[in-house]
Amino acid sequence: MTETQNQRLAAINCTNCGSALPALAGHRAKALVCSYCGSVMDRHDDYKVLARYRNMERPYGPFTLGMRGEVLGVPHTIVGIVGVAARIWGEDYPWTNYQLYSPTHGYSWLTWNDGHLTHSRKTREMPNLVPNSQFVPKSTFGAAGRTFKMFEQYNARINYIEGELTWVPKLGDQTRVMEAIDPPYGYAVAMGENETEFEMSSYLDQQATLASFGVEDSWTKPFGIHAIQPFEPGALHTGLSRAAMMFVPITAAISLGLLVLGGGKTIAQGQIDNPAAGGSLAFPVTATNRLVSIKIKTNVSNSWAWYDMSLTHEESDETIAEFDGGVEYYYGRDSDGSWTEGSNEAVFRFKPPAKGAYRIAVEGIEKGSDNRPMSIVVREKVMLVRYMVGMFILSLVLAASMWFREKQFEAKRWGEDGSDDDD
Amino acid sequence: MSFDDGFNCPNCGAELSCKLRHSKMVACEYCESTVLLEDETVRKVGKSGVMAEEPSLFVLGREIIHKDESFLPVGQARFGYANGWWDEFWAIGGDGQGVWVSVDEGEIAIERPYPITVTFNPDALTVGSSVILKDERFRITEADTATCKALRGEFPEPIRIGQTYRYWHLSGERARIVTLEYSDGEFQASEGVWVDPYLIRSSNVAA
Repeated sequence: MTETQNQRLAAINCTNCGSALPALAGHRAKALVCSYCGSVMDRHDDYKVLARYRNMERPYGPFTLGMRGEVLGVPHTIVGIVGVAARIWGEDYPWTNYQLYSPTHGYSWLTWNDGHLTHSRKTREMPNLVPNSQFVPKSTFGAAGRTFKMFEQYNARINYIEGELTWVPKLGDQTRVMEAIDPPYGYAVAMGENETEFEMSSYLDQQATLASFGVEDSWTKPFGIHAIQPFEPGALHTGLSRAAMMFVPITAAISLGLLVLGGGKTIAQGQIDNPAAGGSLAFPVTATNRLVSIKIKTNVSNSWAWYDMSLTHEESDETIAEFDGGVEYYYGRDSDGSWTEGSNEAVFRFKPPAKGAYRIAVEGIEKGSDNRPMSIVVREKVMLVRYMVGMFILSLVLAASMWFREKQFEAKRWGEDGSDDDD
Repeated sequence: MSFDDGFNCPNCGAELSCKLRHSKMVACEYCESTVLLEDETVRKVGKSGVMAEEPSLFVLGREIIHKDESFLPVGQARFGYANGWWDEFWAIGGDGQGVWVSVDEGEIAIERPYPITVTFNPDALTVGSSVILKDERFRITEADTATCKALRGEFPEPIRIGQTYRYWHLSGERARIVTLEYSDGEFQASEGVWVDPYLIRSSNVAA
């Protein structure tokens, strides 16, 4: 802050009611509106009173005249307040514009809308295609080196004025506004009675801006999604999603490899014709670092077969496992069409503790089992693909979740989420 | 005496800080005289006035950058008008050519000399009316009378304190601006663009 600015801080007495009013703006500000009696004075004509508006209600917002803070890295002072409301589908949507002044950057606006803060300034970078009265949502045009999408149009009506302003305002003045967006930037065409103005806006970090102006952090957090609010997921979700995007191709390639190479090698196959009477199949295991799979198949039909089995390492005569298992398969037709349930096949896997000969034996069958011939196929060096497929699916879901979240965010921004709930 | 030998103020004898070969006028930093450079002679033509310090993105001798173009302000003229004042900087671009940069509370335009042959009735040039120059349509957005209040640095043409002239800002499409000046029965013009101050990189942003 320079000495000159400090020296410029002064007060002026309202020429109507005599109240002391801060004089904070530069010479281009045209009007001064008394905070006490609502008189509108002409700063360029000896503060002559032009109009008076009684009983105006100051709009909700965190800033007051004279507050200083940084916006876009530039020191600004709040010199004026304008309350505005737009009537859309019969309902008023209010917001508060704060006139900012910087001796180096001139006049601009800080807008408080549902807890969101934006900064906007007049631009002479007019659109390459001047939007006409035919408002077409999401139609695009270029301006200031960006491509903007038409967002909404409304009539903005002034319902409160205070402080120093760059034009002579009238309570109730209306402006037709067409807004276009390219988050975090916006572009507005404001069509007044005598003049059309163009404005560039940018979305601000609410907490940082409030802190810069020395406002306590007790104000409403932003709610709903602002037209130019950027999609900013949390760091955790962003990190997980980025990592997942790297894992998707890796896990896909490994899963594919396991599908092709992980089936292993057949080391024995045979058949037990009468499982009720028992039977077995021996098989040689040559590798202990991979799984061995034992697939049994029985052609049950609308029935089941359940076996008591054991697995033995023949060379040490050690029983590796005693277990039961089987198959069941049903089919039929109902009002919904044909159906099936279960399978003729079942697979058991184990990691062999030692090389050598093993034997799978059927000790008997459960009462009520369908005693049909059972075929057995034994494979070794089997690698399970399902865990890697699980990783692939998890990575895919995590990566896609960011896309879905952004889609949902955009649907809310555009009011296309099928809900009136702003949260 | 030549440019390479340097010049001394004819009033106080101090060395004149003159950076540009094509400068026509320079203000003495010591005695506030304005000195006209005429080929190989110097002549005192007036006073430079008092330039009150004001926050500005532009400071003499400090480079500013706008959209990858650099400018070095070497001369500062302050003008008063009905509602305030503005600064007119004479700056040298990266291409070595001079530009005028007008700075009025964040309203910034960068302009180059714009030779015109047409003449106007000054009283017919009113705010809101249209003007066509070289097949380009402009709207008059500002009209006023300005008086030179203070000078610092060097300039491509003589300017004197108290010199008064009428001016008009003509705004065109895509931030185009033409400034018409009328003094002593003659029109002069410059053309350029309005500039967004938030796109200017300057060491004085936080001034």
